[in-house]
Amino acid sequence: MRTRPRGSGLAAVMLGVFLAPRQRDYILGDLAEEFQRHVLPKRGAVRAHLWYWQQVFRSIPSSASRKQGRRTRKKDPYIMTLIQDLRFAARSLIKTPGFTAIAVLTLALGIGANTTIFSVVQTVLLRPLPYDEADRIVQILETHPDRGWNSMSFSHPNFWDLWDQNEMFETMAAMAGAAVNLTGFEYPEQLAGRRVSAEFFQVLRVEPVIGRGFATGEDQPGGENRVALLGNGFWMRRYGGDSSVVGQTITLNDIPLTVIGVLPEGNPFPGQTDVYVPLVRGSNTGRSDHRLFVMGRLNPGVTVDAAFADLSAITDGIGLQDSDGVLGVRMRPSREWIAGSQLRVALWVLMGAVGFLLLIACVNLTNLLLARATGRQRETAVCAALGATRGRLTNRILTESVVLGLVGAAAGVGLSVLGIRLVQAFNPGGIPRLAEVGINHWVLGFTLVAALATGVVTGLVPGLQMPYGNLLTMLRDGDRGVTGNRRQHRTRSALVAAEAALSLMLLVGAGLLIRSFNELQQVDTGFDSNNRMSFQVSLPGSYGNEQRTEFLSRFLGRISEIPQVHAAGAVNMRPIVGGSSGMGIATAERMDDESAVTWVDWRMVTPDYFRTMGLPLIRGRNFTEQDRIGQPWQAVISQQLADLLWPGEDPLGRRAALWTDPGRIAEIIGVVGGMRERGPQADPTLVVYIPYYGAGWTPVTFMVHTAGDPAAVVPTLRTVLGEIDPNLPISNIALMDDLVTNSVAGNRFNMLLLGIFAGVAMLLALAGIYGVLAYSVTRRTNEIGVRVALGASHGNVLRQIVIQGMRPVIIGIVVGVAGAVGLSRFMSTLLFGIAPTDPVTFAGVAVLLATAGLGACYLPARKALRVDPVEALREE
Amino acid sequence: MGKRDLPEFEQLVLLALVRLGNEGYGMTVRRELESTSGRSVTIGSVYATLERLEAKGYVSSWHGDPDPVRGGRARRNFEPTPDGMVALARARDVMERMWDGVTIDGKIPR
Repeated sequence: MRTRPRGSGLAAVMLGVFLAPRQRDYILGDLAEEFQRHVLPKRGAVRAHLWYWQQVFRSIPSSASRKQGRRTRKKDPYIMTLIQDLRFAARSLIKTPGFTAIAVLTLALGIGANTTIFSVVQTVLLRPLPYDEADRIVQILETHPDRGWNSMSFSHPNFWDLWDQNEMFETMAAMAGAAVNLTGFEYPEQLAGRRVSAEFFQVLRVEPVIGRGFATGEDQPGGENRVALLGNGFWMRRYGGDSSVVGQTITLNDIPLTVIGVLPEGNPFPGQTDVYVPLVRGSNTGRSDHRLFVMGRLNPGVTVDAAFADLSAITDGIGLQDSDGVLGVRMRPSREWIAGSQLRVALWVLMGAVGFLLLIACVNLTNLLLARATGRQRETAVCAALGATRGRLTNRILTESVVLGLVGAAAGVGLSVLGIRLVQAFNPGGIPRLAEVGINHWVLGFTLVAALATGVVTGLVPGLQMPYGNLLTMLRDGDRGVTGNRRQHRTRSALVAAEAALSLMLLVGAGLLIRSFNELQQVDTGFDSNNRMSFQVSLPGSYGNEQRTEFLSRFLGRISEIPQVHAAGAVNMRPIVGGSSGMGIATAERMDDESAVTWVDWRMVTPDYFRTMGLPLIRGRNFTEQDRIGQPWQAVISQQLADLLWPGEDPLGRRAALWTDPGRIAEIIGVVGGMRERGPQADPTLVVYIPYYGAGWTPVTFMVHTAGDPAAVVPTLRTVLGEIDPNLPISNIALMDDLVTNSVAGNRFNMLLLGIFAGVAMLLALAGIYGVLAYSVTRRTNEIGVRVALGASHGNVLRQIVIQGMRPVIIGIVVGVAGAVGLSRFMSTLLFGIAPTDPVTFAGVAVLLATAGLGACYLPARKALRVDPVEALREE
Repeated sequence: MGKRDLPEFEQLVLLALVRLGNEGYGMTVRRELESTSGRSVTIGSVYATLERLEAKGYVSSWHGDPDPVRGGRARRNFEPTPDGMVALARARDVMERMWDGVTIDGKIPR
């Protein structure tokens, strides 16, 4: 039986707040002893705990009065002053609800935007990976410095060489994606599978929740390779969380595997995975076949540099025997798995943008507080006359602004809850962990700091500029003085200029993204995505090359018979979202010349693929149903590749060595248009097309062009496929339109967010420009009245006021343009088709801000024109 | 309030210590008070009172050894000093004199 009260540590902390450690220990000791000796045996565990905690809580008041007795009796003057100031701030804010509402709203916008973006940044960029000592995990990439490639997957032999020879890693593992077909249930299903080497989960230090992980040797040829680890989600879905699954058989790609364990909840590795199977060590050939994701756990204390030196020594040795050029490696810290560099840049740019937004909100509030302080001159003077020191009065203003900051932050947190929901609802794709984003203690801490900083910053200027000294004048003039003194006027103008500069920089950022997105929309992808759909079918190993070819031809034939289908074709890589398959190619004449080798993509296609994708055949001929890969070698190439290999010449009938292999010299039979296969942002790929027939690449990506919505033919496709082979599932169905749209969703998301922030910033800045000028006009009513009485024309008055209002705006625009030139280069990776200093954007934004500024100046100026000189003078 | 005064609660705590003999420490005092007076007493207030009494010189205290039952914490034992006994006797004397010749009816509500 447990005899110590639960939570006694917490009780110790609680009482420790009020008591010296020794006193606390007597009490806790007594309570523990009583609990165990008397209360627990008599009353049972539940009521004994109730008693214990009752005693702890009831001890607090008497303990509290003891420890603090001495302090409160004397009434700390500092605390008393603070309480006084707080009361005063609350009273005066409640007395001016209009001012308070505007101030709180302004700050809520600024702080809410910051909290929203920070919560995303915190979850996506700052929160560490959930692995034990994650900083020791690094990804290792192949590089080929001689070709300028620095981020490649590993080839089998290169990985296993490192695995055998390295000394700096505790463990090292490789992974390859594998779509697998699950059969043996009522309907076949394609699973997201991964092949991993035996130490994969040891690198991550992830233990299965039931069963065991892969054992040494299960990834070696001849070892027990027919084992599988299930992902938790798949286990729950298919087996209802039944733990007797361990030891059962699961049929994947027609091969029976023994289930050895189930992984913990969630995805132990980024990306959803249903099942893990061993990655069996490949033979020592095919160094140029790059497919493996490789990572390792560094030995304790080993630096990335040391590991790099060790691996480089190994790759130098490999490089000599490698036909694929000079080999190198690169390390990538595991924290970058969550967010790639593009997303990192985007999020930091957005963070910077909301920072600017908050600054603008601060400037606005400072202006409001300044005006308020000037309006309160008489009150201040009375306080000073009664003996309030300058510091005391400054403190009071600061307290007020800090209170405003905190209230604004509270409202801002409310706004950010909405903001986060919006971001999640918009989900641009490609932001990992987005669903986990929320308000946590980090975010609240950030918001609190932002609120306090905001309060101090906004209160400082009015606090320090508070008129103090010339009591007599202040008492007499009260708040009728002209526009405050010269210094105050200059401060206000500087603040307006700052607002204009900050909002200009934000507008430039937003403008650049809008222009980029516009450029992106104009891009000709080279193919037609309208009414095109892709889907995949994964063929199991029991299909030999013959059967695969026969299956392809038969299935495509049946699809073409569906009435709505215009055309159907197959390709080995999905455009836009698929991976890539590459090869070196050289013209037959220069194939021995290393420098003449061009790295290109290769695609296996069926004859109708070009027609289905809307790729024009520019020269020569297409493949026929009878063409087989390598019998003889024939290729269709993209326009760009033709121009590169045979500039200004006719490529038809020319010969090129595929894979720079003298045994695979292909005749060029046709040229098709270029295609931006990696989305509108990437250049058209250089592609060599070879026939799909005769080869066995799986999964097969099918493309269908239909009349009307392609989704309507999916049921028919399933029926047709079921008639050919009932064990084959259709997976990854996607409309090409969606894929193209999704590929720029991130750009659209950045553009929208930055656009919203810049819009809000501009509104705040305009409100600031308007407010300051309107205030000044009101204050100068007399002066304007006198001028008009003395015969100043409307035009004169108008011009004078507008010039006064626009001067700081123009200065701000000039400063802002300079700042934007400096800052915009940080977002150059987010731009497309334009330079970071795009003159159109800069000019457009400057004109926009100046025009809006003019509008903001015109309203108060018009008010000045309506001043009736008689009225104005009578007030005097 | 002078040093010699002994308010009721302090009187009760002191009396409890006398009754407990050499078993006097915070929790036993609390239990003694609860069982005889029927009122609920917190351990915190017992210690606060014991410390006040110690400051007046009416009780003395010493530490026992750390005890695993107490989560490894030491016990603080208390006993009345001769001064304390005198103060208690005086308080009783005052009370008895005040009660002399007084009779009141009524039941003690429980």
